[in-house]
Amino acid sequence: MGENTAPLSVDQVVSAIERELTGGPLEAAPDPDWALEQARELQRRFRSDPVGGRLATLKRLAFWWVASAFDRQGKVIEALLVELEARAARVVALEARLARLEALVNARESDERERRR
Amino acid sequence: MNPRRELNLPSPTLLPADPGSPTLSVIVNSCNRREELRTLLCALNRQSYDPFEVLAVIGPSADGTLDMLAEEFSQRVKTVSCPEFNLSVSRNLGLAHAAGDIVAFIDDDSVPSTTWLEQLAAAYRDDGVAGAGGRTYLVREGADRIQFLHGMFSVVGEQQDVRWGDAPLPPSRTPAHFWFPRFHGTNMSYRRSALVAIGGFDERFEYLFDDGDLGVRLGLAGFRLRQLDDAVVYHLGATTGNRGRHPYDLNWYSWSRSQIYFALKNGRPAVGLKRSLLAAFRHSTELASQVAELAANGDLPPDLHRKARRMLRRARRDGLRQGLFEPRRMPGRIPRLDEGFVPFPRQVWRRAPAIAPAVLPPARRIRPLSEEPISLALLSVDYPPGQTHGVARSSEALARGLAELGHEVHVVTSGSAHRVYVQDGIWIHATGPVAIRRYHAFAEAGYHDLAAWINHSHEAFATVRNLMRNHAVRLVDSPLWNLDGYVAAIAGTLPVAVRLVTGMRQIADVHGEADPEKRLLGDLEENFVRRAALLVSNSVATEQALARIYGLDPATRLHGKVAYGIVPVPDERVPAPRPLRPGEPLTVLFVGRLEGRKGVPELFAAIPPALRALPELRFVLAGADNSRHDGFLARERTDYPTWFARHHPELRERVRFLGHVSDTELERLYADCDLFIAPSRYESFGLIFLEAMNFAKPVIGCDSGGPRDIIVDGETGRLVPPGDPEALAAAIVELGGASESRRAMGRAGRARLLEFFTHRAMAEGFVALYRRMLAAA
Repeated sequence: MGENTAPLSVDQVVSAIERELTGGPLEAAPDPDWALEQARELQRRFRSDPVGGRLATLKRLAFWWVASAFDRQGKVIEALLVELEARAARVVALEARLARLEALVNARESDERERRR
Repeated sequence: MNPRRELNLPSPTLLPADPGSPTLSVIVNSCNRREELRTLLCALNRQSYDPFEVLAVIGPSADGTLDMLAEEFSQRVKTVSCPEFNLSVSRNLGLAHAAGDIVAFIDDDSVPSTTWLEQLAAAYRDDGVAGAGGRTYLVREGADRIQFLHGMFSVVGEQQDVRWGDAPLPPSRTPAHFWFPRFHGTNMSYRRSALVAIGGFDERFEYLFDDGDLGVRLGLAGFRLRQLDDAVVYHLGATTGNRGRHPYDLNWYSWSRSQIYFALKNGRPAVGLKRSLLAAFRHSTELASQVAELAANGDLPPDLHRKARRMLRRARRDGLRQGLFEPRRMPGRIPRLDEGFVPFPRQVWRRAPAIAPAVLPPARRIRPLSEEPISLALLSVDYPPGQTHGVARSSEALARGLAELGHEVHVVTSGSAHRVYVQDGIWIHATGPVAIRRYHAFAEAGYHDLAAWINHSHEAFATVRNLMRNHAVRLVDSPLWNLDGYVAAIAGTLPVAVRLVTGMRQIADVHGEADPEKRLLGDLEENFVRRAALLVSNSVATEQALARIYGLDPATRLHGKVAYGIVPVPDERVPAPRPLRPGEPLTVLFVGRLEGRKGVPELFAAIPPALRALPELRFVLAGADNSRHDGFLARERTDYPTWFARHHPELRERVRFLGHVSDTELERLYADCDLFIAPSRYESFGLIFLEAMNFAKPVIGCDSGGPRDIIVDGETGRLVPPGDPEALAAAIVELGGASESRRAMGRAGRARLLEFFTHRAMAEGFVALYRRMLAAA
């Protein structure tokens, strides 16, 4: 150690522990009444706030706009995903058709070769 | 005289028996979780409250749950079959069959704390309370401890749960009837009459939002709910029929539909159609974006993504239709199908041990008990895995022994995070890494170790208080080491047993140090010993040290000697002694910190002559270097391994330093060595010798302290005078050259271990002392 500035004694340590033990609740829990007061105070301030209380209509409008924007955005994403899925299905169908046609062409070519022989 | 002083602390005691106590019905809804349900039912045996009945409402199970109930719990548990896989239907059935004044709901994959029902029942002493719920801990390694402290639901289905560290919210105090408290579904209770008054659970909620909906409806009907600070339930979070193998293979349909339905049904009468519709759309869109984001990040595979989107589309349609145009699905008038109150026969708990939550069938663990099991807090700042030193290992062995004997053991340790989990039937409560949250003055004065130790001791005591409230623990067991239980001893709310180990004064004596902090820690240890209600020595040497070091007369104190034990490895894991062919190396193993007290300088002096005498010898030294703390580094300006390599470069191939090794590696070393050596100048006990004897190895130790009790000289190994390198070298050469004696000593050592030094024998010794201490207290 060597850096001790003031030597401590057992009594000092014990007193410090006792102070901590009796000083307050060990697991600090919020005082419900205090929390209620806080909530009331917040509500009072919110009402006197221009956006919260006085311009409530404007706030509702903005809220509606934001919410519907989210909703619209969600719908656009959904629609895009649906469209992409449909196109992917079409690509798969086309690939399958292409493969079938290729097989048909090959079969015909080999028939042709057989006939020439 | 014991100077323990009672401080003015509120003492959480069990409630006195009240003839007017309300009757309680515990309702468990289960489906295909036979083993979890059995664990819960066994754990209910330990409830401190009486009377209560248990109702198991079993969904369409295919795993033999009903058979298990009929076989093991007939006449004790009311069993009801539920034809549908729907939690709300199941809860309503339970409600109809419940005969108690209060109904408490708990999930089948949970285990309640001992005083859970007692705490819930106490909340109803206030006539105005219609419901009470507790906090939930998630019992899983790696998971955060707190799953639920308290929570709120808004009428439009917004959810806000409070976990550790979040800003405290005022539950049940609501701005304008918008937010309402809700309980966690696995830890909630209500007056049966209140639930009947609001018509029970809405059966449209299959498994989510049922608790929130109930909270809002009770709130709107004017009932008051009370969130309790404790009444802990431990939740395992087992897999469900609503959750697939993939972490995001969820029942998105049920989630989204229930949320939309919730917002419309509860929000419409409270805030109007427009706002509730908006909220419903917002919920739906948010969930859709969440799913899209998971897919974009690659967390949701394409097939599951398609499935989730289909579910969400269907959920939007159904949620809107049901929320706007269809009525709630209520059971109507809930009849009281009065089959009479069937009290759960709690007296069985006297014969059944404490059941810790585990998904393993607990039936195998049930052992008959002749006496009432003890519930205790076992403190150990360090605890395996990852901690290899003696105090951590002996604490683990004691905890395992006590748990196997059927006692309820709560280990309080630091760990790497704040959490709770279960290991080998033992509850582990980790407080998280030691932090200087209090006692800053100690650290500022330069006493850093003291500040860390007392901070941990304080955290440990806070956990003990929590355990007193929730598990009715009756005593604290602490090692002297790190002053773990010092704050608990000063508080004096529970009797503290102190396991005596090598004290700071003994370490200072061996190392010849006079550091002021170590001196103070030694003084505090003495103060701790004087405050203890019980002192337990692990060897004759420790017993003698009590008088010599602390000036205490053992005869005036409640005191006993119990030798430490370890968990014996099964016979098949003990390697058969191998015949040594000429030229094959013979391994001598040392395990311990590299420091003066462990006799490392003597070992260094003994190694060269021993190697000269026996060319086939090899030395393996496992343990971290501690030259910084024992003064070696300051004296020699180098650490132990470097010092040895510098002074004996020619022996580099034959002497290996492994540093700190893992538990698995250590076990392999014990199994592979031919001879074990630990020439400590002083050991209060010497667990390492037992670990070597466990693998039938002969051991060499010093004739001082604990090793005297463990090693029988010439029979299980050799005892040499401490601090004597010549004698040490001679013993190594003697045993190294006599393979037949080595084998015989190894066998004798293992037999001695099985007879005197098992964890079970150790636990039995401790239990006898605990009972004496409790009787005296």
